[in-house]
Amino acid sequence: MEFETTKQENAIVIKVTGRMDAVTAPEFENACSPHVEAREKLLVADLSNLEYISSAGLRSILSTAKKMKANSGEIRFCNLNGMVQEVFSISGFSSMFTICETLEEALK
Amino acid sequence: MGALRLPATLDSLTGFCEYARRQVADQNLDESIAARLELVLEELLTNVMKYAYIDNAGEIELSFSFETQSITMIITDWGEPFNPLQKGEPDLSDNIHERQVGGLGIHLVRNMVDQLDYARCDDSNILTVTMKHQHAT
Repeated sequence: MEFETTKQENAIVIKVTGRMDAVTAPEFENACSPHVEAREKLLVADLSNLEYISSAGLRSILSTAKKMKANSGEIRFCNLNGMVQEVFSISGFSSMFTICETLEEALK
Repeated sequence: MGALRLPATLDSLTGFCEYARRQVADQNLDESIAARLELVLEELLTNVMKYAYIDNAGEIELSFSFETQSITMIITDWGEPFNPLQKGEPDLSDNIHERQVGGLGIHLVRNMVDQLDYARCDDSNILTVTMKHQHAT
């Protein structure tokens, strides 16, 4: 998995490329961890280039979300495709998190 | 149909997934079924890897069979009796604080397959998964 991180005015945007499976999922939590520790208030994960996610990926996301929330922060998601959208929906993540169609919307 | 047998450790996951992709590629199936099949495979395999062998010293065998409108995937191990279908439903509440981290794998599998059966035969656990599909046009 690859991560491209950019600092916006009110948020950190992490663009995720690749596959979030049982082998690679911890990489997402590690990539978010410096921003959690810096007590950032808004993290936006741009998933436009995420091809695949399994329950291991969901665990990594939920674990990060819990830490953000503990700091009164939030993680949002945008640009979900195909099976990633389906997995978010079946697991209830679509109703638990703020999911946006575009990055611009997620930054509002 | 052949089969692939590898050690029941996480290192084998990539090998199993590549084998599955090759099997599916030969069938000219729709892209969406390929991704779902891979997800189902990963969830079931990682379950076996976690629970089947106490000392991790065992193997898993994967095989496929294809019918006109369905795929059947068979996952066999020779570890402790373990039926993943007996797992309860996960916590699907939308409260981030309270939501439990585990148990989503089998929930995803249940929602993506048409049939899922477990059998204990002699000293083996056999999971048989059937997914219906349409050929790509």
